[in-house]
Amino acid sequence: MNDAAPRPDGSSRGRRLLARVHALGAGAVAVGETPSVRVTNSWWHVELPLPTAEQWARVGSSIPVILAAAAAVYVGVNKPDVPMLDLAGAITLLVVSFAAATWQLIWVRQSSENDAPATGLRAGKAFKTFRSFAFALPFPLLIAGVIWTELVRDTGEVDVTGRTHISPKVVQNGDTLTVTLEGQPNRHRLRLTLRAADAPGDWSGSQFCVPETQLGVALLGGNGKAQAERVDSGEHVDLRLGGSTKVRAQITVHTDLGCHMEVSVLKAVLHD
Amino acid sequence: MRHRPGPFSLAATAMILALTIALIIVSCGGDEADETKERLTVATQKNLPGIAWVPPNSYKRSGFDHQLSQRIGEELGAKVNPLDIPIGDRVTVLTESDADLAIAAFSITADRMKKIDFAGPYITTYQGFLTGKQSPNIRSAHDLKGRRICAWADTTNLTPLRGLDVEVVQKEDATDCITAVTKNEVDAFSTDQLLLYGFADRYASKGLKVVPKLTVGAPQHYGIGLPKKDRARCKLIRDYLKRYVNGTEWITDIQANLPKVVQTLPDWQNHLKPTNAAIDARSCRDAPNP
Repeated sequence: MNDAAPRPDGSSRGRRLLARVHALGAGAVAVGETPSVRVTNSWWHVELPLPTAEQWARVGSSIPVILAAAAAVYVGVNKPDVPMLDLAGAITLLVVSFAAATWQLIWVRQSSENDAPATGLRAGKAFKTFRSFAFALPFPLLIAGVIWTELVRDTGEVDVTGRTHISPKVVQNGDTLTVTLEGQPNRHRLRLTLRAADAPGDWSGSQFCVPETQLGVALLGGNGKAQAERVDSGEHVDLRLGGSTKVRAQITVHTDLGCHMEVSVLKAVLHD
Repeated sequence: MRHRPGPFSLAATAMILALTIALIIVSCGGDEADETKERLTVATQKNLPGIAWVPPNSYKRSGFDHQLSQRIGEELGAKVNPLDIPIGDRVTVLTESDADLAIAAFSITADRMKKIDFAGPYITTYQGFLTGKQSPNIRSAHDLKGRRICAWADTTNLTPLRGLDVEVVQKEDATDCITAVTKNEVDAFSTDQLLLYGFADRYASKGLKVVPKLTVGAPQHYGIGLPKKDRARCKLIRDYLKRYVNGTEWITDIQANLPKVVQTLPDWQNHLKPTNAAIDARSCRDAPNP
């Protein structure tokens, strides 16, 4: 038995869909002439209303908001471990994208071609062009925001202070100590800020040597050119890592005779 | 027979009386002028020859710190009121507002800076050793091994000695250590070289001498202590000290009060004089940088 055999009334013997869409003028929907889909078979039939172009437009206008929100959530969850300032541009793009998407959603819902005045942007082709622009605008913004975030993840500053080790801590004039960075550096430079303080306990009760103390910093090993730079306590030195897989820096203490100093890493930041 | 005063003696008596009254008025007037001056209570020492010294049975003060306190008084337009204190009370008199300043061979340290302000340093010295006539021959740190060394309690001098293989004998007063050295109860007395040169000069007849080129510990930077609340005064004194150490008065004050330093310490100005950067780095701060 062929279910697809046509019947005299135009319907199949089994299920057969018939769609009768009433073409209506410029967004106007006449009462009783709503576009619909008729589903019918031998035993029953039902006529479902079909969304109008206006209704499709309203649903479609939600898409940029949903995508912008999704992008913001993605960036928030997968935020790179970098200073917030590095991400400021990406965050701005995502915020603008979300704001633009929200605005166009509200604007589309509040306006319709029915009640639009026949003048200005809302009239005719210019109105449709502007609406298309408002719909499309959030997409490049949110794409740029996500790409920016990924670029920062690959090239931005990484605070690795917690990954540094220094020994020994209490030193005198001419002593050397070593700063080691745990793990591989994934950037080309290391900005190292060291702090020299009077050694704790009895020493800090009998001396005050910080102002005359300087620290000479030189990178050990690796392919990078060895650098030796003298800095005061609290000043940073920028070391070119030159592709080293293991970062070790030698610190030489220059202070007054008899001073006992404690040297620590105040901040260590990898960057390109 | 009673002697009757003549007209001449009456006139003389009247003149003496008038002169006395005039003198009283003038002297009272002088007091009033002094009373208008702010009084500056300066905590100080009295047993450090060449630094802050009051001879026995005398009230005449002398020494480098004393001279500096007079100069600070003039700079601030104040009358200096010295207050002799035990060495261990220098921080307390300032935190409890018993003194306005402390100029008392007072080393600037990171710990003290948390409680009080310092202006300075105005002079820098290292901790050295003083020996007597009967003391063993001490020339280097190696010669100190196993020796009995007298040190002043409640000072920064104790810490560097702990790192040496010596027996430390603590005394409450520096003069007690001098007595111990002269009586050969200890092998040497260890405190700031500047003070030792003052003692060596004062007790030259007893054969005391400073061991040359033997120092321990970090440099001691002498500063003027102030309560934390007086930051404006602290900055005034800081600025004055920068002018003072770079001028001739600093040199003449050392030459006058510590002649042994000038005679025996080569290149003494470079050893003792702080730089402006050192003064700025330590003056009127709550904590060392950074």
